[in-house]
Amino acid sequence: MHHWVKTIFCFVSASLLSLQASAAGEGGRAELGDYFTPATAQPASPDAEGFIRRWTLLEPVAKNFSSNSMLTDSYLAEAMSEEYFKDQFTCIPADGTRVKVGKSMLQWHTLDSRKYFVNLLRFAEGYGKEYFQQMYWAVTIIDCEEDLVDVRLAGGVNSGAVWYLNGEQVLSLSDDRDLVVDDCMSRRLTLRKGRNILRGAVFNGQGMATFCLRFVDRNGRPVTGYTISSVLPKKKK
Amino acid sequence: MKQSLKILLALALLVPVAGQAQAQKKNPRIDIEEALRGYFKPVSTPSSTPDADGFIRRWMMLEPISKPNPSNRVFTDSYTREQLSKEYFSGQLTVLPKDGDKVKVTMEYQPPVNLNSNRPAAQPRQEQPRFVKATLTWHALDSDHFFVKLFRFATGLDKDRYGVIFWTVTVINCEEDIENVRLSVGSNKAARWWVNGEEVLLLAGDRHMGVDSAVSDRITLKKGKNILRGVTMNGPGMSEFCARFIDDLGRPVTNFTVTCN
Amino acid sequence: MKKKALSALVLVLSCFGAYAQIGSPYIHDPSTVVECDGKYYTFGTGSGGLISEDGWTWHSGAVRPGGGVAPDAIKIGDRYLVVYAASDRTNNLRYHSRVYAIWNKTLDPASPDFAFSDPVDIGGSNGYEDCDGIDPGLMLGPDGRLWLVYGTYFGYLRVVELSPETAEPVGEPVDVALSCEAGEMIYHDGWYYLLATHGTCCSGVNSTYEIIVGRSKSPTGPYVDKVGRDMKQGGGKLLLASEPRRIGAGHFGRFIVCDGVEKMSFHFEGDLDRSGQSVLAMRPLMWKDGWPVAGEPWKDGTYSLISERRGYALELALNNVPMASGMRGFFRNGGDAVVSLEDQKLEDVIDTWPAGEIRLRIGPELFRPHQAWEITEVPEAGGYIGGAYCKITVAGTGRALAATAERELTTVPEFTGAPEQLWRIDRLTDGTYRIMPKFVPGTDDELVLVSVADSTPSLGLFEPDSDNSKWNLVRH
Repeated sequence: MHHWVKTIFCFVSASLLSLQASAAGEGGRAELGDYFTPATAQPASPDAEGFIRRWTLLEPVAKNFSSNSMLTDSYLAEAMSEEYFKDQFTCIPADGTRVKVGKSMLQWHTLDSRKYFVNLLRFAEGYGKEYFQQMYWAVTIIDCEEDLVDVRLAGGVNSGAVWYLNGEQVLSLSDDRDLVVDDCMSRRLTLRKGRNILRGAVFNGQGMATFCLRFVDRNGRPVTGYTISSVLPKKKK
Repeated sequence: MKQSLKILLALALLVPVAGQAQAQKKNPRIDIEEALRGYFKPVSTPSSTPDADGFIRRWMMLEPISKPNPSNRVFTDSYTREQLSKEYFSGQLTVLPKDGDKVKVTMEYQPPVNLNSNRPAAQPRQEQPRFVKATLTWHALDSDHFFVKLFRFATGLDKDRYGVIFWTVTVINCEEDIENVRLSVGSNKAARWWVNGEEVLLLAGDRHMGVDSAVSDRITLKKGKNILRGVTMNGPGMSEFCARFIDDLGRPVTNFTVTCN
Repeated sequence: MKKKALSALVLVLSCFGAYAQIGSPYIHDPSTVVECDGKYYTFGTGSGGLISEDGWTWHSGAVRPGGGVAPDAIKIGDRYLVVYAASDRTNNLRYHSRVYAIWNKTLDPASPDFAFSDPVDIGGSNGYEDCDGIDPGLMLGPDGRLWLVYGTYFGYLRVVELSPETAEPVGEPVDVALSCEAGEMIYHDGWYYLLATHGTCCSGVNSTYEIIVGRSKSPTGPYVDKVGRDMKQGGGKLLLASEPRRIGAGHFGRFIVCDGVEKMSFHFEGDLDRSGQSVLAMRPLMWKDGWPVAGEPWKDGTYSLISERRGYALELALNNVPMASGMRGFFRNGGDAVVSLEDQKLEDVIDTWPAGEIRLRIGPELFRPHQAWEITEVPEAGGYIGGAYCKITVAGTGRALAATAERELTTVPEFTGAPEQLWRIDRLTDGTYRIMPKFVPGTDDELVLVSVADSTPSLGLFEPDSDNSKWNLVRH
């Protein structure tokens, strides 16, 4: 594996979300709007089954892996040890923010998924990006009015992913997985009172790219007693 | 563990045995109907039919022949065949007796059973068997049940009840050949069965009576008379059998009559 | 997820030598096995497929036009319907795939009636939607309605009703499962079952293909797994993934032999005993609590043959020879060391056995030599759908179980290979076994080993609802 040292720039873009992105709208083709709606300024809630639908998604980062069967535990660990952009494990990107990854400028988009899962392939396709052999970064903000103890982060992914809560890795889904609700769960966690940052990266070589995430309580029931927010873009000067 | 063995051992511990066994009363003029009430009735009709499940209830039954067996474990195939191949009385495989016919036998003596609590008590083992002569009677009986309770036949007639051999015979009358039937017997304990003089079943082992416990190969009940003969041998404990014919699908055969001659 | 690598699936169906079990069963994405005029057929990706005379030894030779991928086949009335899929790359659309239907009066290429109809497009995906219209699977429901399921990991599996006369769609497709492929629907006891796969296909021994299942009261779903999870949420109960030395189960098909006897066909992506190639495989299909179970087939070994009727064991009708130790009392005597006693051995008793034929009976299991049966495959004897004929001998001897002309059982002193000494053992849908002589002298009836009485074995007709016809194989 190469070790890339990347120069990362984070700056704010005031560009508005376009759900009729470049590749959309051709005859018969699914459009980004079929899968996502723009996030509003109002905080969102998890859906009735606890799925987190509001995410700030980075346009995909190219990764040179041909097969999903390469997504071993060690591959994921090594891939996540690389720095792709500055403050990748700490930044809380605003919608429209751009970062420099290698020679490319990639943009964050804050979206609400129409489905319980997030279709990253359609996200990438909607913004005219390559969608195979890619790594997709995702961030969201969980706001709690009080500590929620003994919850687990439950996820499914197509095909592999690593997830972090408040900077700590809590879930790694290796190998060539299919999207399965509650396919894997973290150890028992505490969603602390106030702001919690849920962040991760999804990998996909070929085929569909999706993920779903929710928190479940000690009885496996979905946790819904929190809100989900995002960072609004700064106004253009 | 064998229940009767447990009982024997338990009673051996609890009952002071020596010299206390009471001899059973001998009553030469037993009222058969009263003596066998609840289990058998003397035959009073010319013929009978198998019951709805095919069980043969009319039997000519010889009073038991003493053959002490200290344990039911002895009933291996070879022991069963050996003991039930001996001649106990003349014509035992051919005779069609009438009710009240007598048979003279020489049989192994066994002391009267200790009837304390109506359970068997251990008998001192005989070093050298002693043989006695006896005259036994054939009884034509209809069983009140699908099974033939040999033990109650013996106790009702005040005869030896453990370690005995019961000879039974009946006549199956068919209006036409019935092919591909099997003799089905449940037996407590070891037994041999013949149809028309041919052995069709050997039942060995410390077995209990279960409906369709063992069956013969497929045989033919021929038009007319068929002689069904069985001999059952027990050790300590219960003795009984049930017998019927079943067809190739396991259904009871009922289209025949049963007589004692 | 990886889509099927079509170009990589050029099948090589011969020249790998004879494998005793099932000939040359090299195939990928096999269709449901279909019987036609006494032979068995399955079609695979690419073209062609396999033929078997007995359902056990397979060789190439089946003919299917159209190429494409992952066909399925079904008999409807007196015709055979075959469906397959092909992807249209002309517009550089990766998931533009169509399903085609073709009909034939026979599957035997040597028959003068053998002629497939022209292919008819019966559905698929347009290349833009969340569906990849390949891997078609057919089901004729209990009401005579015909259903097609298709799709891959790229989005949803879809179900659409077809005309049983023309195979053309008569309804709109309905999404039934997410991130699955190799779908197949079956009906059992009031439920529709959707069998599909998760995992990586087409990677040989590194595949992780696995067959999963959900069920529904309706052909159009929702299909829910055993923990209540919809297959549109990735639900699915695992049916089979791998077995020792065979990796990556996929492309389920069901073959009903008769009431109570079912088989599941599928491929293993990689057979370690066959250069890691993809091979046709079959397992007994069992049902437990309303869910299908991939049954383990019998394997060579020494077993007690336990009657389901009573629970007694098949044994030689011989003296039960006592063991030397005997009764040790009700209470352990103090002072003596506790020792382990040896089992009764064959040499302890065999001299008491007669030399000629010995009949059978059924008795309480005591794990004695006259109750120990060695079941051994006889490769040269051929097989039947899903298995090989075997001999059943008293362990440590050549004494073999045999059927008699009187439709009874015996043992002969030495196994000779005669057909009445060969046995077919099918695992039944309830997990018990049916034990069946290859041949019974003097009758054409298909007879099986029955427990005609608690203590008496015999040969009789198979009754799927009767415990008399069922046996359990317990390792001795």
